[in-house]
Amino acid sequence: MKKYVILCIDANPGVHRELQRDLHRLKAFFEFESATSIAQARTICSGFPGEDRELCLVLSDSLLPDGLAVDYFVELTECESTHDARKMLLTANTNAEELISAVNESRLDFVMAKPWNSEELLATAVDQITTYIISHEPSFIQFCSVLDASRITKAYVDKRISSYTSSVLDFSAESGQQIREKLIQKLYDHFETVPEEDVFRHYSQNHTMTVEGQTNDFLWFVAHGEVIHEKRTPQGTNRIVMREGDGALVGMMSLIGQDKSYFTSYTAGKAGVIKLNKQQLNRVIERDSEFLPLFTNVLMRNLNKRLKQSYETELKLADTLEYLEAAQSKLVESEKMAMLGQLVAGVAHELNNPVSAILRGTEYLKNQVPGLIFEQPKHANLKPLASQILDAATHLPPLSTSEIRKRVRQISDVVGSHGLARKIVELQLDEPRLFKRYLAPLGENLKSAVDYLEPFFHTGTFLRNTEVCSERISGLVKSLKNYSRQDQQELLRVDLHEGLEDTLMIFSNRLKDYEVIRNYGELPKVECYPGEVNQIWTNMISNAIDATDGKGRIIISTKLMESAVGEVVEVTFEDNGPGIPKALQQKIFELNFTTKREGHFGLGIGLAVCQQIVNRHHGRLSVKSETGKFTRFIVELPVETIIE
Amino acid sequence: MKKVVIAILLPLALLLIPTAWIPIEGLTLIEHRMLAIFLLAILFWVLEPIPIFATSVLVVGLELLLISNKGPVFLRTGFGTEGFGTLMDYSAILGTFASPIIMLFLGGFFLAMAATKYRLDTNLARVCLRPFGENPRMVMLGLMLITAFFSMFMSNTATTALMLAILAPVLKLFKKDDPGRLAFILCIPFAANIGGIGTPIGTPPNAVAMKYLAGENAVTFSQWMAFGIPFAVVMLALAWWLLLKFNPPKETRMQLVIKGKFDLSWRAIVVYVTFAGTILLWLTGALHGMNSYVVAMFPVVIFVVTSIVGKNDLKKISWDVLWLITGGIALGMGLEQTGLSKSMIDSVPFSAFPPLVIVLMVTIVAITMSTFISNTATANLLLPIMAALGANLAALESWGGAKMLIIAVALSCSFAMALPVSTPPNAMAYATGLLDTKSLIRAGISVSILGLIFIYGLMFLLNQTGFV
Amino acid sequence: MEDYIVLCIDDEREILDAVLQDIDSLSSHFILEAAESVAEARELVEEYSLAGKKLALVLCDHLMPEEKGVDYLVELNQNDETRNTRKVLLTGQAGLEQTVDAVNRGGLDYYIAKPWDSESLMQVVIDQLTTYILRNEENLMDYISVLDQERLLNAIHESG
Repeated sequence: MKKYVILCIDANPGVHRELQRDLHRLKAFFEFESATSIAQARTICSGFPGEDRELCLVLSDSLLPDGLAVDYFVELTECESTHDARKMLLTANTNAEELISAVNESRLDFVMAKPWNSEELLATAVDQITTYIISHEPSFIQFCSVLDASRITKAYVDKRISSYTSSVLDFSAESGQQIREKLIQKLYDHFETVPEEDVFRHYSQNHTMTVEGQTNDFLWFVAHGEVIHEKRTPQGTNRIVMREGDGALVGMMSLIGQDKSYFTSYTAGKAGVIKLNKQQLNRVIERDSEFLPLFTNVLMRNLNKRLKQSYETELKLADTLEYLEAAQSKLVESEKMAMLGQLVAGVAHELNNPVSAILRGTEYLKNQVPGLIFEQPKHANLKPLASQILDAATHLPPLSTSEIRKRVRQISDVVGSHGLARKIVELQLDEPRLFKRYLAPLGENLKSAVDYLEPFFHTGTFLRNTEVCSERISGLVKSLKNYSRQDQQELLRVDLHEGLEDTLMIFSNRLKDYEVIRNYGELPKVECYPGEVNQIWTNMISNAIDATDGKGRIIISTKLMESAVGEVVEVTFEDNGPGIPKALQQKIFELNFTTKREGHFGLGIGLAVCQQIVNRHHGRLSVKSETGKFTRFIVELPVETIIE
Repeated sequence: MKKVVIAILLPLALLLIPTAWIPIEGLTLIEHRMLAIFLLAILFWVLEPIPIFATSVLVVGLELLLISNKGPVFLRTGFGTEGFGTLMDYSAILGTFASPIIMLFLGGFFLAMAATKYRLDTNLARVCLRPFGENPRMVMLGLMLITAFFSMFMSNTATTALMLAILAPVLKLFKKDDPGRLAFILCIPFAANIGGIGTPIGTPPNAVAMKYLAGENAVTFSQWMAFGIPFAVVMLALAWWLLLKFNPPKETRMQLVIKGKFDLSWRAIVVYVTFAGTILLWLTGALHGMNSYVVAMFPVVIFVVTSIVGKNDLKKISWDVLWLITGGIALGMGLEQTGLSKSMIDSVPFSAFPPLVIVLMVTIVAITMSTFISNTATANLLLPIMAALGANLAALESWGGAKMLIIAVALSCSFAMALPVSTPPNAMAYATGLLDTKSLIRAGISVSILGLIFIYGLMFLLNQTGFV
Repeated sequence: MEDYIVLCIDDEREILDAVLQDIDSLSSHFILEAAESVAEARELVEEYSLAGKKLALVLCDHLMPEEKGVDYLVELNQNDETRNTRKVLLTGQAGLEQTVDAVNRGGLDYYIAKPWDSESLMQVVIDQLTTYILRNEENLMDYISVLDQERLLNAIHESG
């Protein structure tokens, strides 16, 4: 039983005695402690928690040898065990300021002037202690005889009433855990008196209580341990839905609602449970009036918890779905980027050669042209020949290297030096008639004449090369421009062949080792999103290249067909790669299918995207393949598209 | 192809015609064969159908076959009869491969090889060029002196390569139209050619000359240097002045960058000491009594024993140069011992000419020949004749006799530098592409002619001082 | 002279014209040849080899129709006659994998990226040819005027 302490602090031990005398009536129920200083009071109070004692009232002189009582009151208020202790100040000279601060900071409860009236002191002390006891001692009713009986009785009645009313609906003051423990305690209290009911069970791990889909006649209160609730998925595997610890209820809905069990529940480890059937439950409810509200509360809390969980799950699912959608579009995007990267690299390479040639050529021209224009010709008589050579080199395609070699061999013995012979052949002066007419008479001057003529030839060649290369670059640029209409979200009538050709041009770098056969039919202009359609061609050609590992044959055919929905254009891409096994032919259109090594985007996403695009155009994408022979993708697009 | 046919057919024809048809009095069969070999040597060295050192080996081989005492028996039948002549000792012919002259040259090679290997040459060039500052004229003088000094002990080719490698990067900085470029590119080969005169091992013609400067005509290493070096210095100064006169550089400053520092490992120090010691011993033959051939073995022995020259380095020795000299010695020996040289001299009425004309004639022949063919080949062909001429022409005696004639002709061989083909240093300078033939000919002919004139001066001086 | 071949291989004629023009100053000492495909190059090298001419340097593009440049370099490197040939890739299109292959198995000596500039191309060509000549030719003197003078002169100096 807890002891309540009344503490007197005063420098004068006479005051202690006086107080003890005046409060003598309380001696039977309360213990008295006295201190002459704050320090001593501190020492006394510090021992209380260990001795199961509690400070209920402090009576203190305002001015103590080692400080102000008010400061010590603040200290008491800040300490948890003495937080609510009632504080009375006994003072001879009341200072208003001091008082205010005492009230404000330490919840001073009462101020009494010295010297005090004995009866008044007792009455005040009793009143203060009563206030403390009512709120701190659960069985405060026993103090009825010494303290304020009427207040205690009233408080007792109030408490009883409120406990009846609140216990049904309002357990807000207590946590779920406390309530569950209370309930289980009640069950223990109840069934310990009737051991023959045999409701206390100790389960080992994996003890099954309810089985999903079966009827259930029991209710389990889990006193300690953990239970697992499982639910069967549509795929037939069991998935853990929830784990619950002490105070869990198992089988409540199936028992109360007479439903089939919703979960399969079993113990996660060792567990102590109370297993009740319906009759036993009813008996407890009848016998203990406090049980039902508790039980109801626990039940509601349990249900609430499960409901919340279910909402959360739903939210999580929605999140996951959103995330997956974002991931998919990101994947599609990155596949597009990867493809674009490859194309850009290819085009850059393709530009490299003509750009190199132009750069070298212009440098040569820069160095040579002033000489050709301003210098006095060393061989004035050869000037007409020089202009002829310049003209020929500018307009005629050059001799092939093997042709040059062949002709050099024929004359190199006559000329003597291979280098000179090569130059003569390049100038095409090795032809016997020309040689005889122009070069043979030169004799010693042959080399100097060739040196004079050579720049004319090279100037012409480089002019021609610059033109040829510029044309190639401009072709590439045009294709790029057409091709880059990818993002143009506008329905247009276009010539599909142009898009195919642009795409092929962009791939030309990678198609160097391919025989590309075009079986183009007559096609009307087709209504479509050109950018998207180009993306289909890109994927088809890229797939064909990847499937054939860098060399082979690609046949692109187009034709116009009549179908039930009107005119349809059919574009087929056939490669002579290893083909696609029958079993895989449907899978290749799935998003996550790929035949390629890690790091290479490919078939899967590409084809899935193509499928989407074709669908948007109300067309059809299909595949025919024979392993080891060919793969043929067939794209069908209606000439007139109805796009919503 | 044509060259080979001529070079083989003419001597063969000469060999096959009866001895009596040849307008040399008292010609023996052996002399006849030797004459054919001599003609073959002339043709092969002039026309160069095969490398010149190969011709030398061919000469040795033919001598062993046709005129040695261990040739095929059928070629020796009739030995002892009148008109057959004297057969040569085969071991003497074979001995030419290791004659003292060859060993002297070998010693020089060892010195040069070790100096190159331990970068003594580069480092010496670096240190010695420093005092000449940055004025192009002075730098050129420095370059010439160092080039000349090196080429006294190293091959002229290697010296030229070394100095051109140092010079080439700097010359690229010269403006294209700066005549200084020409002056610099020419000064190296000229200095190398001239420097070769300085010592008996400076250039192969000197070595061939040493062979004939034996007996009463003997010239020691230090004696040669005593006239060779002052003469070379004078000629260098002259060439320097001439080059700058023809091609005054416009550039006012130039800086040669030679990287490196002296190797101080013990082997390197052995090289330095041996190099200096050998030269010292060559110079002081009179004090210690060891002749230059014996001294030449010092570097060979020391470097081989200390592994400074190892097995692989031996492969780098220019055997072609050694064998080229060998061929000359063998040819000279054949001409002398068969008596052919004397017979030939006798058949030409040299005594009818004034001695001065003879000297002028032979030196001009020598310098002209060696302008077009190898200096060594020229020396190989001319010097045996000169030796015989000098010995048999009493009128020459007061002018210095055989000794004077041999030295004059040997020096003349070294002064042929008018064409790229005249000497390897010329060829190399020409190969840099910084030089045109015209400039080379102009400068080369000037130096050649001056050289010739100064040779006569030198001979006069030597005669006056009683050296010849 | 004209004992050694410098060979350019590229499927694009314009590139061949440009490269040959860039290295034209070597034509006095080397046989400059061009081939439009690996097959043509192979035939050419074989023909010249019968005439005793050796392949000193090959300037090769990688990405060409039919046979690839790197594969040809590997082939050259495995052939005794052309093992010493200096091998240069002149390309914008060899990936890392092919380049590594060219280095490891093709004995690649240099890689020039397109577009190139004529001076550095010439520098590389001279450098590679000098190395080749130093290792394979006795008569260094003939090449002083067109190749790296300093390296050649030093080699002459060192060989005595």
